[in-house]
Amino acid sequence: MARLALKPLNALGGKDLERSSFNGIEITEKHLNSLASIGCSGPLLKNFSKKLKSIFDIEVPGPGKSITSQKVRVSWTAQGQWFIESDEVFSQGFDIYLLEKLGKEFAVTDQSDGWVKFSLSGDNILKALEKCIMLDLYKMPGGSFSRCSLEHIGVYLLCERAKRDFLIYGPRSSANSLHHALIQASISA
Amino acid sequence: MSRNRLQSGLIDKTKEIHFSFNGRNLTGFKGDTLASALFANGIFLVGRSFKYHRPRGIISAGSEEPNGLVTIKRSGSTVPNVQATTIELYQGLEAFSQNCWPSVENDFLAVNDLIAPFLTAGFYYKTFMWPKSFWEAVYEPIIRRAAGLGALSTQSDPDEYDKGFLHCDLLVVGAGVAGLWTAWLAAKAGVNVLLVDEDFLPGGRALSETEIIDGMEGAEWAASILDKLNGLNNFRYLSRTTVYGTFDHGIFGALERVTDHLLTSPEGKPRQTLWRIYSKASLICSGATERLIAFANNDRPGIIQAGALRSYVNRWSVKAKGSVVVFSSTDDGERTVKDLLEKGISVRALIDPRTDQQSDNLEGSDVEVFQGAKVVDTFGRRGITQVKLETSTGEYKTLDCSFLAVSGGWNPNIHLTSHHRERPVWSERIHSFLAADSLPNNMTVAGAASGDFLTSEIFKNSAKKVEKIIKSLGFSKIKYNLPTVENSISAKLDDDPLWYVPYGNKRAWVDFQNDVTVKDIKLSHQEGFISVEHLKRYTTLGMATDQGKNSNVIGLAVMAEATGRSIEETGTTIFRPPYNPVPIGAFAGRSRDKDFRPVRLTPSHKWAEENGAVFIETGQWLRAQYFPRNGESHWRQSVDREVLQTRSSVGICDVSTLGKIDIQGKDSVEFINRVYSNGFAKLPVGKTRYGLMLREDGMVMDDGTTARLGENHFVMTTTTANAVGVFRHLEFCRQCLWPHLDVHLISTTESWAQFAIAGPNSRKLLSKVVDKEFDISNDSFPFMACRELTVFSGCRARLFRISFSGELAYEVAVPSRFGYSMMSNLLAVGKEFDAVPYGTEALGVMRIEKGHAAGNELNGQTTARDLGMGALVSTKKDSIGAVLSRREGLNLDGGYSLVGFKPVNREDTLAAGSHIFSEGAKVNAKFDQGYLTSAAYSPILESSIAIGFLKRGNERKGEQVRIINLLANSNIKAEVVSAHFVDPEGEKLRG
Repeated sequence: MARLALKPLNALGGKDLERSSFNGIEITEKHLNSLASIGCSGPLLKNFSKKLKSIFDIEVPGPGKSITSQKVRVSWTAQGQWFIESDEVFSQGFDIYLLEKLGKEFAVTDQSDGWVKFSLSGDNILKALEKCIMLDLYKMPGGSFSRCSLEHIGVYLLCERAKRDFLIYGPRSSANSLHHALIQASISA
Repeated sequence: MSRNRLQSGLIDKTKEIHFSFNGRNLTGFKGDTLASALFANGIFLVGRSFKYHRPRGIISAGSEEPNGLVTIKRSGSTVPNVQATTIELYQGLEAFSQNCWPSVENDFLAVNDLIAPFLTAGFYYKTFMWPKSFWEAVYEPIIRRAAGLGALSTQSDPDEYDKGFLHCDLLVVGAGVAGLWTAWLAAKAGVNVLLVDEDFLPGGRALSETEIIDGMEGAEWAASILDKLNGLNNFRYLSRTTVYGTFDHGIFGALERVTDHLLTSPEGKPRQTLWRIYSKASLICSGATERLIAFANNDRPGIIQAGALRSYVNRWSVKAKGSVVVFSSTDDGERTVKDLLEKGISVRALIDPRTDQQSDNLEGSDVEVFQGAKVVDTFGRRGITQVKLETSTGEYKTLDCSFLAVSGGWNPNIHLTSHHRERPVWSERIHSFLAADSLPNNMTVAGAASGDFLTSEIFKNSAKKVEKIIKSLGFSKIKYNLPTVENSISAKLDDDPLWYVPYGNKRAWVDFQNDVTVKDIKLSHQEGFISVEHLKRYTTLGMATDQGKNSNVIGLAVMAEATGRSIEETGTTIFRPPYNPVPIGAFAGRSRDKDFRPVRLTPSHKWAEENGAVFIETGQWLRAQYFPRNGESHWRQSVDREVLQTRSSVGICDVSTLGKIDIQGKDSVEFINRVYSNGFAKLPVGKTRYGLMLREDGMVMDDGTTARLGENHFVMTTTTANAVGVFRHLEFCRQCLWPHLDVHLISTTESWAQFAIAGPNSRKLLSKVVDKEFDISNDSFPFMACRELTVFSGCRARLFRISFSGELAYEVAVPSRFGYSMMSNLLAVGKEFDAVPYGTEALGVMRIEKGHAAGNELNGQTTARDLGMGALVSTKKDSIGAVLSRREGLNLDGGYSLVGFKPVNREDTLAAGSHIFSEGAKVNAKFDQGYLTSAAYSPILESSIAIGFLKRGNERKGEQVRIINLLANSNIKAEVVSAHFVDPEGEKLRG
């Protein structure tokens, strides 16, 4: 037998990314190539800030914030904890790459396969999201990053452009339910 | 139809709407409510009363309506108890009277009215006492059938409902004069305002009155303000929306009737949306409800609130046929007469119990004015035809009429102000209750809801209130000119309010919805139920769906008089949410049927689906239960095959649902050592260890394996059921108990597709999967080993040599995106071993055969000792639950032990949950010896087997006991055996 290789599927179960539009709202499944969480506390924080700046040319975002540079996006997820995301694919693992770059003293966990990412955009987007997210979306500036619940699913909401463009990160196993909830909210908007 | 309509009004007479009531085809206009259209069609008898089945007509024009409850057909189903006064007329509306048979005109149960003397308050409690057994079997079903409102369709609700979340600085409840005015002032100051109103038009009472505001009619003025507001981006308006409840921290619940005014909802659109509103401040401008006066037979169709009659005439252009008598103890009587005369409606008389009022405005009209007079009785079978009045000189007169408009004053709608248990306070000024002085969460009351009944006063006073709110929210003061108001009639109230008119022994209704009369309240007093709370429950006053909006104040006044106390001393009950009924479907929102909760799919779900798996819900997960093959007609055939094939060769199961927690940090080993009862300090890198986790009280919380991937890097697994609970527990420990420890926790359950590969050929299969540079021989990769490696030509993976089945087994994890491909490839590679996929059923059978504890055994009531794992609670270190696990009560002789059971007769089937009794012992709780936790048919042993907890079980192996299942009425003889039915020495898994 010829040596078999593993082929990936997207979180919604397809080979191609799902894209749909309702009421002027675009819901698009996005590639999540490389995502990892980084944990550090105490004296390591300063070091983290320095390394992030020198390696990725990006500041450490504060609570509720997400910052995007040419190379990566860094988002605050909890005290002493961040998401770091890259569009690049790292064959050995994003965590391994980050540990090499940042140093082994950081707690890095690869989460590239733990999440599904949807982009949502359109004129009616707030009318749809207010049906399923309890945050004050109308006052959310670009670069906001918040954890919240969406139809009983814990998600992260990233506002890319105020009142217009959002990203939602949800648990991969619930990708279909999350997608369904977003579609229903969009139709209902 | 147009004969019954006037010229002016707020309906669009160019848009006819066809609807039906009780099967009769009728016509109305856009802008009508069902009530106004019925009124215009000359239909006043709409329903029957709750208890006596008396004919009832509409008495109001708003959401306080107690009589006009109808059932409407919608989306192929029916919706009961909808107020005709709040249903916006739409094409094709079908409405029906309820609580009547065979028709509302000729209701069989109207016979109840004839036996009314026997049906007084407390009747049920006194009458249906004997025989006791008859209550549930006979009396209650009969009473329930006879009494009541609408009936549920018993079908599933065909409509969709939504939930939503709104945020604002200021929530203004009610878009009447006060609401619109304050919303405008606040929004102009920059405050983020949300204005909510239950009507489909803004304006509140201004839509029904003839006052001129800033030179415009009320409706025009309201529309102009709303237009200006809609031009601001810090303003939002929700019409057709009722705020039904006030909750903590400035949160309000509101129900928006999104498509109730349409025959069916457009595809995907909800019928209603339940909003949760977060506000920094709130202004309750919910208006007031006009109070009726209780007098004999005051419930006949055609008797109506004076303000409601003005609404039907002024707003809905309804021409009241025949003549109207007005009975009012306030200046609203004169206002009503004046409005009706201006519209050309015949008014027979104004009856005003006050003696010191002069109705100057009525001079020159034909209206007979009776000062100091009272209505004492009415006549008419299905509607009023005559009123009987007592003049100031004590004479009785009878007047013919088609309508009797009644006004006894106004009760502010303060329900939302007391949902936090703030008790309303009595006001002698308005003879009604006002909101408590101090309200929570920056709540203010304005307009008629605060007792201001004169429009010019409302503008002035509400502006002052909103100025304070604007300031408290950090915005600057604004300049404004008060609107001018013309054509107002004074809102002077009677100094000596008239609550009810005593007249003989006839019944005067207080609560129309629950058929409570003045007599019932007096009887309540007579029988000692004088506290307002007792009064309410004994008579059911104010307990119907209208929440006492129309009845509470009169009821309290009657009780106050009976007890010789003031109303203030008598007190009041408080209101609870909801202000108006909310359909249960709206509370559920989209969480129903298949969308009740999100579904979690395993990484190989698609593969399992394509390969015919039967799925089972395990929490939110949908897992493959078994994989039937052609020719297998019963699940047991499939499961037996999967077990036998795994034990004889190799089987593969997706076990990704087990909780996986990534633990890192220089103190991670110390952390794990504290949360597990057994020791982990010496676990070498590359090894996995079983761990037992206790709760603080010493009972077992969860178990799993923890692999040490690096010096400061561990992966802990949990049971599927407890994955979230354990992670939350660990976070609590990390953040609250030991914040000084350098530990980082990340749930990676979702990240890895993990497969159990079990059976004697599992290593052979794996050796074709794992890349060549990794040695997985028994020597290099022994039992409980773990490591990171690559599979299928370079895909990163983690391999654990652990076994749940008792076989030589491994668990291999790859990134989730490869789950489908991994399962597919494993089966392709395993073809030469006839590898089979197996599901949760076979997984369960094999773990019971092996005697492994799982959720059934870790049921929150068991200790490590019960499970035979007492030695795993280390005495060499401290850990959560260790101290309390040593409690005397948990370590008594005669405690439970986990043992196995085999039926003496192989044909018998053991069932989990059965209880264990010694041979010959009585079957009752006193002699209970334990219980079975898990049972299965073992294809290896060709017998039903079970594991369970038996008192002193370890000492009783070989004993025969009785397994009693009271639910299945079975009594089976079984032998106590070791819980390890298969490979008790563990040779297979180490091989």
